[in-house]
Amino acid sequence: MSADGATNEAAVAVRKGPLVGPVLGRVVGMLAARAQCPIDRLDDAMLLTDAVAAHAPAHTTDAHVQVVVAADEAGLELRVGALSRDGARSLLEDADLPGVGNVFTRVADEVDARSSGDGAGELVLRLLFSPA
Amino acid sequence: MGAGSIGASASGMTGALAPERRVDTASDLELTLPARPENVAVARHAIGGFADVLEMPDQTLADVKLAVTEACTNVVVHAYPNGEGPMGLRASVDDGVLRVVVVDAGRGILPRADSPGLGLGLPLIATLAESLELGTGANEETEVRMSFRLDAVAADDLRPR
Repeated sequence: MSADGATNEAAVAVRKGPLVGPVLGRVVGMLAARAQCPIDRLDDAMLLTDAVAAHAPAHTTDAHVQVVVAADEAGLELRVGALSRDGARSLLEDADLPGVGNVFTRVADEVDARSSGDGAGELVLRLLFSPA
Repeated sequence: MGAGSIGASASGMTGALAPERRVDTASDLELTLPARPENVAVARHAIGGFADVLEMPDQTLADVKLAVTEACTNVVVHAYPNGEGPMGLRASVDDGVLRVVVVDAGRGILPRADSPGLGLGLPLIATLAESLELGTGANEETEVRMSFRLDAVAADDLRPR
């Protein structure tokens, strides 16, 4: 977290392929740690990041996976964007694990699969550092 | 673990960075952050993600991380004397060469009589990198372009398998 308490935000675009997981994980981990994320929620943030890295490449509209990572004292938000039409819903469905359930909905406190007017999709995942 | 809900609004964070922004198609990595001191380490760490994927020699990785740290520190210290602005990092690998560009939308690279630093940042980058260029991007951004030879790395290493 920044010294003045403001939200810190990073926009990351990584070419689909083996770089997505390592780069996204490092950026999310750094921003979460800077925002004083508790260690158990940092683990949850990495689970969400791994799931995004694993499944988002199949649903983006170009050669990159684009994620905006925002962190403040209350929590962490991942906005996975530039998804295809219905890509957000499909990405959400891909995170279903047999016998476990959906990684996104089980780990995140808020999940929002959005579709804008022009058909582009965005999946928003929000993790609270102190769950209600 | 939190109980997730589908369709709930993600309130409380009103970021200005749209995930659907235009991405440089030639880049393997593009990262944009507020130019704050704490984010220099984020940029350094992100470029280190390449080491997880590429067989980059330790010495080369150390040089890349130090050069990126110096370039980003220059952005934080010099680019926005009257406030805060964006700091960008682009990286790509092609033909065994890692190309890194650190971008800002600040005042440009100008002599500064009241500079708090020793003035060693750019000379250090020039020593560490195979090439160093200072220039202006298509949208008048200030760019510091560096390249590093990665003998053991092929561009295909970064493509989807």
